Amino acid sequence: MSGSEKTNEPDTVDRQLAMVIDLNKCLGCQTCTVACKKLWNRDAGTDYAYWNNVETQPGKGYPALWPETGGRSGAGEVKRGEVPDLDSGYGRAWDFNHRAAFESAAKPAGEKAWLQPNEEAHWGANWDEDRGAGHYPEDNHYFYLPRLCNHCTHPACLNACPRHAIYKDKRNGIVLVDQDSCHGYRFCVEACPYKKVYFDPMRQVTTKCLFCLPRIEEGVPMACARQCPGRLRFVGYRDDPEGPIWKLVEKWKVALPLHPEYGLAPNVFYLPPLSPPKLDAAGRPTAEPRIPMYHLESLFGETVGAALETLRSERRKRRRGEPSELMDILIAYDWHKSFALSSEHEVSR
Amino acid sequence: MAAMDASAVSSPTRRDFLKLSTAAALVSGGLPLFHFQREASAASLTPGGGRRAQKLGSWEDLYRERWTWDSVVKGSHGWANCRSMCAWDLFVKDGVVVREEQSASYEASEPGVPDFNPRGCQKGACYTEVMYGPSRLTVPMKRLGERGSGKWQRISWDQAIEEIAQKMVLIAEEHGTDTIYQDLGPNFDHGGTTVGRFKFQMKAGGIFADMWAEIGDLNIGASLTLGMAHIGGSSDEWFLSDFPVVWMMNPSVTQISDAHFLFEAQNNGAELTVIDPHYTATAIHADHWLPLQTGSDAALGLAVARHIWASGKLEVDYVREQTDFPLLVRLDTGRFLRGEDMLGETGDDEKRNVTFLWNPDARRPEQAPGSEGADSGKLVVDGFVPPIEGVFEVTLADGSTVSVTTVGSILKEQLDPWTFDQAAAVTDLAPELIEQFADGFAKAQRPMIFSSWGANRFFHSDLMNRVKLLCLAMKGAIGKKGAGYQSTGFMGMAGFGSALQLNRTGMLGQIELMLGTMSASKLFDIVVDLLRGRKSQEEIIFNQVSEGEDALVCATNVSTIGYHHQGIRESLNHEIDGLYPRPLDAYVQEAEEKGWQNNLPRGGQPRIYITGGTNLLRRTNQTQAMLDNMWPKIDLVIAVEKKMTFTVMNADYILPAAGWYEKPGIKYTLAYTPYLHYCGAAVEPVGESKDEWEIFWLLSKSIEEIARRQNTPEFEGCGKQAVDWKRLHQDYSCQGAYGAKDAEKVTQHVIENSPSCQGIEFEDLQKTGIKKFTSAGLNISPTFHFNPDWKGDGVLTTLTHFTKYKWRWPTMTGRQQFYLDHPWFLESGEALPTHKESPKAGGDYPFQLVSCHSRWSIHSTFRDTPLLLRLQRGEPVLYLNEREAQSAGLGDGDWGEIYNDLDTIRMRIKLSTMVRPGVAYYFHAWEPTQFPDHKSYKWLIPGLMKPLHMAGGQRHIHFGINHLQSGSFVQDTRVGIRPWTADTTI
Repeated sequence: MSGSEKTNEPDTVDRQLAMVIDLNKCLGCQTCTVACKKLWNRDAGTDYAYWNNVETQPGKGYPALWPETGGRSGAGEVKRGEVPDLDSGYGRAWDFNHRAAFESAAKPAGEKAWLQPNEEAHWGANWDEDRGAGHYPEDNHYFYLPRLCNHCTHPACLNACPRHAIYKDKRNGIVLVDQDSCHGYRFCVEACPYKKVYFDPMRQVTTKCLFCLPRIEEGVPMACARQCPGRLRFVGYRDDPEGPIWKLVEKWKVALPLHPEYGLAPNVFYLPPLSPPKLDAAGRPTAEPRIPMYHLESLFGETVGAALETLRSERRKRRRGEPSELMDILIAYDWHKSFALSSEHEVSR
Repeated sequence: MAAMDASAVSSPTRRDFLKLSTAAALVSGGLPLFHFQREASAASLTPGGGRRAQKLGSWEDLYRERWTWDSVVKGSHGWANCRSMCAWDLFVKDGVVVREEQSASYEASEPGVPDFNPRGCQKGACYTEVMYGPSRLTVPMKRLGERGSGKWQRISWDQAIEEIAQKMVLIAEEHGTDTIYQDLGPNFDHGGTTVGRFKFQMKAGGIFADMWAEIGDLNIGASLTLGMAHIGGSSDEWFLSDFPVVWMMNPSVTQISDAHFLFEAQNNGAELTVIDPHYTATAIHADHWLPLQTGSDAALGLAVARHIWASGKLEVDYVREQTDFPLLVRLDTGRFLRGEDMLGETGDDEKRNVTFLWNPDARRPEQAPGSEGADSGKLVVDGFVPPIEGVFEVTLADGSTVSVTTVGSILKEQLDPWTFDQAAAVTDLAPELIEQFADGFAKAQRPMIFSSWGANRFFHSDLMNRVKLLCLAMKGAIGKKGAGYQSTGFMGMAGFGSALQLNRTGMLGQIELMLGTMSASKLFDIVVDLLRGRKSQEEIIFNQVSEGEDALVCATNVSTIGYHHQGIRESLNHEIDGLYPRPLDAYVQEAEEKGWQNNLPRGGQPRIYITGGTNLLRRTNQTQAMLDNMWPKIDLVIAVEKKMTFTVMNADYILPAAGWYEKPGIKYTLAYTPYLHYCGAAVEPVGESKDEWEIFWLLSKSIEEIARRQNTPEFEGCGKQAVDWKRLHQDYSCQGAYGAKDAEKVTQHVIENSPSCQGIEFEDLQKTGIKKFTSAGLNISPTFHFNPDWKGDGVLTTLTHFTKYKWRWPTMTGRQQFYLDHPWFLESGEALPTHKESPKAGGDYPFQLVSCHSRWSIHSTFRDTPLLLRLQRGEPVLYLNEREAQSAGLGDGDWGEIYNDLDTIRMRIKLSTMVRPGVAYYFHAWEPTQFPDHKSYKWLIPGLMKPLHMAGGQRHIHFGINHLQSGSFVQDTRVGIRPWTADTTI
């Protein structure tokens, strides 16, 4: 075997690797972001890029206003989108003036350099952190949304590439950009409505999340999942009825894809966030959650209400002392079992 | 096929060149910081050996190559002053630590409880960025020009040590050794390097200035109520509560590795309440969020306490046995009915403070077992059931008759006004919301309150915490599995104290230690205890270690030094004018006259300051006063540091300390994760840096040589014990038994002499990085667990010594003591937990300046790390409520001018719907260097001192490291904010 087996026909993959992210446990700590960045993404050309990011919702996200372009038409055609602007869309990887600041403590007031980005910063990967929406204290709200490539079953990026450099690994359905074939046209960046393909101006190619392919080949979960101290990520194959993915997505139907209406069939799923009750004008608790349903429906589709109700009713069961398979999975008593990775695709040694 | 191999990716790129040129500029500019240009690449999870990528001849090899390494070392961030303990794999490639990943090798404590995996946050996941980052220090340097000028001369270690030693001898001869000042706290591990730092200070006769209260971490409310400040079990105990209440804590941000237990508890059926003025990252997951008025927490708690009682949910048997509810109080004086009242002047002096219960059958007071001076130390009352309410007539020893009542009766009367409506008026919460919470709490089986170190930063935090403890005690929750108070407990590490004090190794050293600190009669008692088997040898040695510390250590606290020498006395008096019967100065004077407080150094202000990771100038409130008044009078400032800080910038010498992956250590032993965490050295110290054990080994050696040469006479230290610098190094090195490179051997000594680690083999520990503690320690020091049953299995619950085995609590009454009859507390209306308004510190301005620990830094470490700054806004921000700021003309990202009576500073504004209107909110520990004019919010914070915290003279009301001391409270500060239009170019 010589590594990944290419297929441009998404339906022909042997198996599909997938991830479920439980937003009710996300701390917004960005350990996933840092883990990913440290491992894969420190080159000069992608220093601005975060294959994995965590954004505060509601908010502009990263890159800013990502969901507004690309995707597929109702007929399934890939739509031309836009490449986000480096300054207003992504934000640059600022450098800093440590030395000037260290040297100016004794200078007169007004002449001291203070430590700050070497350029006026207007946007970054986490600019909207903890900003949220609504009015304090009645209905102010926010939640954290970790995002990475969805390794879609019908990836827009794959069809957008005129060089056929983007393919799915037949062994596991991971969407990859062949760095040898890519010519850096950026049609994929335009087409991906999640804006999870990044252009590397130094190497003149696009790069994206690998689902940590080299680790998966060895049966080790992705860095973002394995390094998550909030324990909110589950990893496994879609067709494994004993694994957490099948149970959360197919059986309990509580894990939902992001923007199903884009028509790309993502393989990253989310448990939608519950939230404390809104208060009425007199400050009394109401029966309504703080996060508006319309916002959740805009992200996760119309089944989100049912998923939330399942979560609430299973928690109530537990409160009554009754068993719940769903809650057992989400508690992750034995954390290592959150990852059901087959070793059958391991590279021969 | 286009060639695209791994070397193309790792070749120097634009940013590398930028970094290279920056490094070159630093060297030529006289600041020879040391830089590595290597970018991160590799990694795996099989510790020990290396990993090479398979070359499969396809493009993916580019990425496979990055996940490779030469070796893996088990390490951690032992010196980080954070409340997590995390096991990491450190991946080394070509002699550089390129990456770190959590080991995730913990096991579940018991069936039905989730495991601890994986432990470690985003900061731990990129410590390599600090290690090789732009502020790393790697060569010894000496100041040129004035302090803070940024002009440094690179010097050799020999020159640095020799010059510092000579200056220290001169200064000590003129001013005494107790002018050597270290503020001890951060950069603290339990291993050899911290032993070195502390042992030098102790053997040299310097002062140990505790900063627990100064930084606002000391839970004085708990000390006053339970006799100890640090309460808490393992974090998996959180999972077992059915009613967790996060009340002044933000675990999503400050306990990143533990927070999951809370949210998993919800999945287990628990109802999570978060009480916080702000919609925090923890509150977003709560079942109930109570957005109360800042500083009104006690009022809410009093309404809960009232409701528990009124709704018949008071655990009467528990409060009767474990608390002071049934103790008798004289109605004429407000003081406990004491032995001195009942037994008269002729009575046994030890019984002077014994307290009394009412015996309803005999209709007379009986001595309360467990009370100071009582015949029985156990909380067991034989023969009668003392009432918790009532008024009784008592005849005293002098024949007079007085009316007495119970603490319970007084408390009930004081709680009576705290209806839901009354609490609503103070807290700005709807009465219905308060009632819902109070009722949930009252009906809960296992209520648990999370009140972390950050819960101690208000002037009246002690009152707030006393109220929280009251609510729990009324529910019988303290010392009960899955319930109670979580403020952070520690595992015992007796070997650390032993390593500090020993002058020679082995049993001879232990005996010498005992002889040096005890009287002949005490020695006799010990021999008897040993012979009769009343105490184990370990227990005796541990006792001696504690007593030795008291006898030898010149302990004071940072706030007291600030009060006397920082030039803020007038300001501190002014800020609390009229709040207490007398001015602050009068309390200080009385406390010093009565010996409740000391005033060290004895001869005036500190003359030698050694900073080792504490960053005093970053954190001091009213920094401008420190820089103007105290700092210029310090003759010698020595920075033993791994990275540049604002304090280091203002030092005279820089001695570069080895970083966290460059020396052996033990993460300080919090109870959250009851595992011993070993920090292995993955690589040699970077550049010329050395670990602290070696640095102080060299310094003590040089000082000893000079002292011998000059025949320097003995010093008095702080008056406790003579200090002879002619044998300073002999004592430090245990007569040469420990060499300069023996930090690991000292670390081994600490582990092998700690009963909590019995059975742990040092070599095994080095291989695995973690080992479960085998007990909670000896349960003697009031910082530990008081759980004699825990032997490394199961969830660690605290305080069962008292609730299960009926030991007396370490308070005057031997009970959880809610009533404090100390005259200062009585005269100020704080004898019982109550609510008091937050004073307006810094003047009457519309915003309250409130801080929280940051998710992005461990205090100032990581605060200037580019990788993490890029995930923030690159500079400090002040959070304001979105609507409110806009109406004040402040937009997101605008500059604001923040001002009060003290000063004016500038900060970027960030808008958020999270923040309560009327609050200016910030995440702490930005360096002053990160603000215009190098003026941080610390310039605006008076740092209030509460007079009652200097009280003494009672069993548990006295000064103590880790126990009770005056602090410097920040959360009461008020500021005004206006837009600032600035030229922000550099």
